[in-house]
Amino acid sequence: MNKNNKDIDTLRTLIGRYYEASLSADEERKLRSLLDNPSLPAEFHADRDMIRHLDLMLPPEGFEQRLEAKIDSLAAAEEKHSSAAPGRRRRTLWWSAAATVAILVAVGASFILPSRQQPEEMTPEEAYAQVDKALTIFATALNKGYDSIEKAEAKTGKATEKAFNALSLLSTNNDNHKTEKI
Amino acid sequence: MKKKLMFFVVAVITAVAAANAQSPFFKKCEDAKGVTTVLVTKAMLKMVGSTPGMNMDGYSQALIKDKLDCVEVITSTSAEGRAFLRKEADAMFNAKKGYELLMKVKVNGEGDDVKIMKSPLKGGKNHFVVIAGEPSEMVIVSMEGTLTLEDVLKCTKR
Repeated sequence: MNKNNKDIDTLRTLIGRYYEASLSADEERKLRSLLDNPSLPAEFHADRDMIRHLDLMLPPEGFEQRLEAKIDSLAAAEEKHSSAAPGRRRRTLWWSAAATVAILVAVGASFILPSRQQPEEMTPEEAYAQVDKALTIFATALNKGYDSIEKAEAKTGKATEKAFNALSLLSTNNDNHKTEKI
Repeated sequence: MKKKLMFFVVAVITAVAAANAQSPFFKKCEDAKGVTTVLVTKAMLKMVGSTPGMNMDGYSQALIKDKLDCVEVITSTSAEGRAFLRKEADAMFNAKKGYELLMKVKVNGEGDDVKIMKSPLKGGKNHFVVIAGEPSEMVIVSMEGTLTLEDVLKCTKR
């Protein structure tokens, strides 16, 4: 290889930057031309082979453009499908939201509200004792009310009787008084 | 769409409410100091009505099994508990909340006072509340179902 020291230094720098993936297109071309030189020193043979191998793995020419075009066509199709069925998508969203709210309400209620289950420690006999007590209290309260009404009626009856007696007495006295005058 | 959503929400709320048959008043009293609460659910009432050897007449059995949905008994003998119950009962069971006063008895000098309230529920059912205050004890009884005042008197006449 008739390269001078400057070329070798350049080659080293380019190889280092190649592995860092910081080469420009021109620098890559320059690197490949230097590596293709038949008088390449042996110390760079491994790098040359590696770079050539990596070049073989590169996508074919125009692959990037074709890929971009395919992505664009898929995106356009998706957009068209979405705009064609907006109602269905909205309905799905509504149902999803409603289901989420319902689940949250149900789960939240089960935590917030205390358990309404019958305490397990209460036997039917104990439950009956409580119900009987409740009914007795209820009936006693009702009876107290009815008793009070009866007492009030009795008092009213007596008062009415007294009033009638007083009126009849008054009436008798008036009649006597009139007779005396005549 | 809105109808479907409303139906869905109502169904969920109904399901939650059905699973939680306890009254708001009972819920308040459960954690109150010096207050004892007893809840007998419809499931237990059915069990009581179906358990043989309970020493109850046929009328009581039918009432408990078929006409009662829920029975709550709330008592307190402490001054603090009685004051709490009286305050909460007055706030909860009044005309503004849909409760009609059926009877009120106050015996001056003895310190007894009794109130019976009623609130109509759906399906021909009623919620009866008895608030019985004595000098040393306060008892509040809450009963829900299709029972009537006549039923109560009949099944306690033994």
